[in-house]
Amino acid sequence: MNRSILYRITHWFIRIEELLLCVILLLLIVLSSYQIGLRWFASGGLLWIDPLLRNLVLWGGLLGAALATLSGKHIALDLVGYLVSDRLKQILDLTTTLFSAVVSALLLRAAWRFVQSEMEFGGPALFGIQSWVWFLIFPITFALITLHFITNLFLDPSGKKHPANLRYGKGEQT
Amino acid sequence: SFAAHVYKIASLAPEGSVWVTAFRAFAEEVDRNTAGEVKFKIYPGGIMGDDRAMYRKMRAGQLHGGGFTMTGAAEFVPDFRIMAIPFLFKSYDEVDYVREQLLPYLKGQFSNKGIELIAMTEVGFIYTFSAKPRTTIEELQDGKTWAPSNDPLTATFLQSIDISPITLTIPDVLSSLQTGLIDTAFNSLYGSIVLQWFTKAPYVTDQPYGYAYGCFSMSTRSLAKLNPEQLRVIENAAQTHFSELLKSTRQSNIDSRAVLAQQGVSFVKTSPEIVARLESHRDKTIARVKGKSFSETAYDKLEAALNSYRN
Amino acid sequence: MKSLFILLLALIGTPLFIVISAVTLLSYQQAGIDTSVIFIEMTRLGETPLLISLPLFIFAGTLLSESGTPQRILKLSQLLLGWLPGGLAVISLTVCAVFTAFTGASGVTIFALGGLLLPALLKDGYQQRFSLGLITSSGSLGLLFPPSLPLILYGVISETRIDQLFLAGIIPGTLMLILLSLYAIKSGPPHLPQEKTQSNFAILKETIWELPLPFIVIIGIYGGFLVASEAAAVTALYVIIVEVFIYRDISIRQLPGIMARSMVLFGGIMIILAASTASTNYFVDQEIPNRLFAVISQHIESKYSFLLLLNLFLLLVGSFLDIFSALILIVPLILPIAQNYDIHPIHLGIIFLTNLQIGYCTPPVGLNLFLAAYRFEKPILELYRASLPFLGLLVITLLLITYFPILSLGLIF
Ligand code: NA
Ligand code: NA
Repeated sequence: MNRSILYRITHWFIRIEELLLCVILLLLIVLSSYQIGLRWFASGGLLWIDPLLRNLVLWGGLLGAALATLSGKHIALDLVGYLVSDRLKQILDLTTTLFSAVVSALLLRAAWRFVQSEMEFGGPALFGIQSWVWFLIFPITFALITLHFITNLFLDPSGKKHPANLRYGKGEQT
Repeated sequence: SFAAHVYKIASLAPEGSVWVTAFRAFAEEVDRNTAGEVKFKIYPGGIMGDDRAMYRKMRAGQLHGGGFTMTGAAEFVPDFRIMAIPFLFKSYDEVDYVREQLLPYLKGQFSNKGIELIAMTEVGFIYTFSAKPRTTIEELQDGKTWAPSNDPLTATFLQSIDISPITLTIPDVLSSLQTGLIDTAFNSLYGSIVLQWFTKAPYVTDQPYGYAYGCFSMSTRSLAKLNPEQLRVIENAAQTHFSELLKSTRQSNIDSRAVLAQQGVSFVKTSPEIVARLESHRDKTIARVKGKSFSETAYDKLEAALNSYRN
Repeated sequence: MKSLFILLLALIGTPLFIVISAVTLLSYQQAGIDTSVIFIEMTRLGETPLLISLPLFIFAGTLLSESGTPQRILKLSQLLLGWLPGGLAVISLTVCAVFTAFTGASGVTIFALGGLLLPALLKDGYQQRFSLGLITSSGSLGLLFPPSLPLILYGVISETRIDQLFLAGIIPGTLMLILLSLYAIKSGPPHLPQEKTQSNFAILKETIWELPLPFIVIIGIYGGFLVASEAAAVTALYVIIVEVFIYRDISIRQLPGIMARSMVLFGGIMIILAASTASTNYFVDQEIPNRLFAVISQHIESKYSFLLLLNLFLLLVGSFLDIFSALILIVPLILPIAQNYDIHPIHLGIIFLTNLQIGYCTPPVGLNLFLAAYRFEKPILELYRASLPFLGLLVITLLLITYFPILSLGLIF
């Protein structure tokens, strides 16, 4: 596979996911504050804001997790990583990434079955939109996560040249 | 266990409450009369999730049944909320008569969704609990009133009397009463003790706001595995124990009145004029939600049953 | 066999959410539960009202730590506590506690404040070992004060009331602060008068916008104006206004990057939470906590010996796992057992967090030790030695908290 194309595609994925995350966080802050304002000054809030906020938190957290995959920022134990040689470390990383890709693909399948069940039995949810539409985030996220793990098989996420690190820089690992 | 059929049943009702106790008695009788062939495993206290999660888990096959609240069951059978119209029933006798009349229709509605309505359960008449006395519509409008999440009837009714309710799930009500986020909530007398709401809302308007209930139901798929004899055992046990449950729930509500009074709760009276005004708002609410929150058919059946009881 | 394989993969650095998901998928398959139930559990997580406060407080904390706030609150504390013998050490402890309460225990305190505090302590005549130990252990001090993220996370997982948890942490947290401060005063150098470069008024004026922050949360919630999730939104909005538009420490162009990074941090926590919720469902389905209790109660009768064992177990867990993973993994399993021993969930929460806080600076692998070693370029063994006396004091506090539930529950009931 041509690496520079993969770099460019990955770069765009990062930008789009970042954009979505910013919009979601902004909405969380603005809508919550607006709801509080309504309650304080107009003695009552809008019924749709709280359920929308709950959906946005779910979407934001899952998309955040997708982006965390691409930038190698998932919480992990890694007790062995510091002790072994770079060569062995690379092999271990490949193994864990491959395993992660398989598990997220299985989760993707389970997510899809859940959405199918909602299509059949769920009903209208927020804004009259069918519940399964709101839950599409599950298969979307796990498709992205699977894809990102596969990408990371080719682009080392801890490497300096990984697009995620070009944007974030390393070292503020928290 | 080595039983041929083990059914997993979940409920929001806490361990030790009348509902769970009655269910255990029911399960024991089924176990005995099927010679241990049919057993129930109960997950109380909401550990399997709320009504929605329970319904989803029934579809996925992890659960086989559940004790649902009215609002929870109405999410898949909207007509189930028909008896929750505010200021509708005058007495438990009316409730009992109407329930028996509506039951065959409701059972059919459940069956259409792949679920069998085994028995109806009740919370009982619910009352307005408040931090200050709220006996007039104006006083109610001054308050910060709670409405349950996913309950279009309550929300629409409150809006019709110019109250924008604050919707919260039941576990959030107590802390919100404590911090003053809300100061008015609805519950049965027994429920207000179980959930400790009365400690933060010690004024009860002595006029039922409405009637709260639920049901015990099981997935059609899981029941299909039983033979007719086993099904009959379940039906008989349900008949016995869930009518017992109605009695004990009602007794708990009666006992609770004395307990609440002893704890310093004040029962405040409202006037017939105010009740009449609220009833007119009820009629407006019905006109607004009919065909949306429940079907016209269900409402016609309810009206017919009420009329035949009252005349 | 399969589980052993997964454990091995966990040890070589597989993301924790993948490890938990893999175990969950396996156990569902064995118990005959449809795997789509994993997502039913995720919808339940999505309906947790408190969840929204996590991204909002994470964002507020990230923004605060990237702005000039650490310098400003340090100056202010010098003004308020500079007169005290051992004043600077007390200041360091207090500032770290307040800062950690707002930024969560992510090590950010050591990075943002440690760099300022260490030179100041050394200049004031404190010994290097004492100073290093103080900063290492104060890196997670403040976990028990509102609105600390781990406290909220415990509320989310255990479904206990967050307003009560916030109250419960105050006395234990203060006790810890007082004990450490007394030690600092006792072992500090003779008091030198502070040289001031700014007038008191100028310092107060400079920090005037950050002063209200703790009160937004406390007055907002206990005054009945806000629920916890709303307090988070108001805090986030306030921090944007103050740092971006008033102090202008952060430019508008920097903001999207900080927002995206906060959400990635939140995503990393939420996905583990989601995976763990699904695995908890398996525990519930198979009634595992009940069975565990049945086994444990045969050997341990009293609540107090259970608590002692729990503390040892948690100290061990705390030194290997970061606080979020530890909470998410262990609480669902221990909570029902502890309730059988008649331990109040709020008291349990305070015990949990204190343990995990101590675990941060417990050799061999406490995170704070590594962060401090990395930040100050010192050998890890030196930090082990430096943090030992502080560790001792923290363990004494832990015992007090464990065996005197009134410290945690006194303000609530
Ligand atoms: Na959980
Ligand atoms: Na740790």
